[in-house]
Amino acid sequence: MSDYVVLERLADGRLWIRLTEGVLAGRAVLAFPEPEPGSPLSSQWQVHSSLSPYRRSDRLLRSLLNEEQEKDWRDTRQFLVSGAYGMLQFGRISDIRFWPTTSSELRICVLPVGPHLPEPDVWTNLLFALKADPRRFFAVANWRRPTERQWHLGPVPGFATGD
Amino acid sequence: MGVMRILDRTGDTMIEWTGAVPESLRKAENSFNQLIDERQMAFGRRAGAMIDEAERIFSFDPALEEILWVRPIQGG
Repeated sequence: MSDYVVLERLADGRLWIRLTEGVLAGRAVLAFPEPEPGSPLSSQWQVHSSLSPYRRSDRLLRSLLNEEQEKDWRDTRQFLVSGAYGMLQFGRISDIRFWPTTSSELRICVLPVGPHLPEPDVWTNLLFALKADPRRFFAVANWRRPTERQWHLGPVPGFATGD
Repeated sequence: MGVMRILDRTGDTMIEWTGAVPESLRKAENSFNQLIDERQMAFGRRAGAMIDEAERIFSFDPALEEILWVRPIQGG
C-alpha cells in the first residue's frame, strides 16, 4: 500500500485516505476493511476512487487511446480502431460500425460477458479483447448489413474458424 | 509498487502490492490466479501507457506497474 494520510474514519470501518506517493499520489480513495473470508478476492486491499464509475472508466479508456482517438472520444464519444481486419468505429454499444478489408460495411454486436460495466469500460474491454485475439473477436460477434434490421449470429463473414 | 485494476460496475477495483510487504505480493498473486481461473484476461503495462504498449500476460509479474483485467466477450 502507498503512503497515505487518513482524511476521515467512517463508522463502518472504512477510511477516506489521500495517497501521498506513487502513480496515484494526490487521489482520495475509500479503503475498505478486510472482507469476510471466502468472499471474492478476500483479504485484499480493495481501493475505490472518489470519482464516479463513469468518470473513472472514462479516465482509464482515455489513457489507453492514442492522441487522435482520445480527441475523437472526447469530442464525439466515438473513435476508430484499425488493423489487418479492417476498421471499427467504437462508440455505439451493440451496433458497432465495421469496414472489413475485404468487403463492404457491416454492423457488429459484441459485449463483455458478465454484469454491467460503465460504457467506457465496455470499450476498454473490447479494445483488449480485439488486441488479444482479433479472429475470436469477429468469430463471436453477431452482425448485420447496414441496410438490414435482422441480426445474424457470429461469426462475421470471413472470420469463421478455418477461413 | 504495482496495481491490478479489475473492470467492474464501479469502473474498476484496484488491488495494490509492494515488495516491501511480502503479504501483499502473495495476495496479489493469489488474486491473479483466481481471475485467470475465471477466464479473465490480463494485460500488463507501464502506468499510463497506451494500449499498443500493453501485453497480454499469463502469470503474475510483480515487476509490472499495472495489470488490467478484462472479461471474455460474447455476441450481443
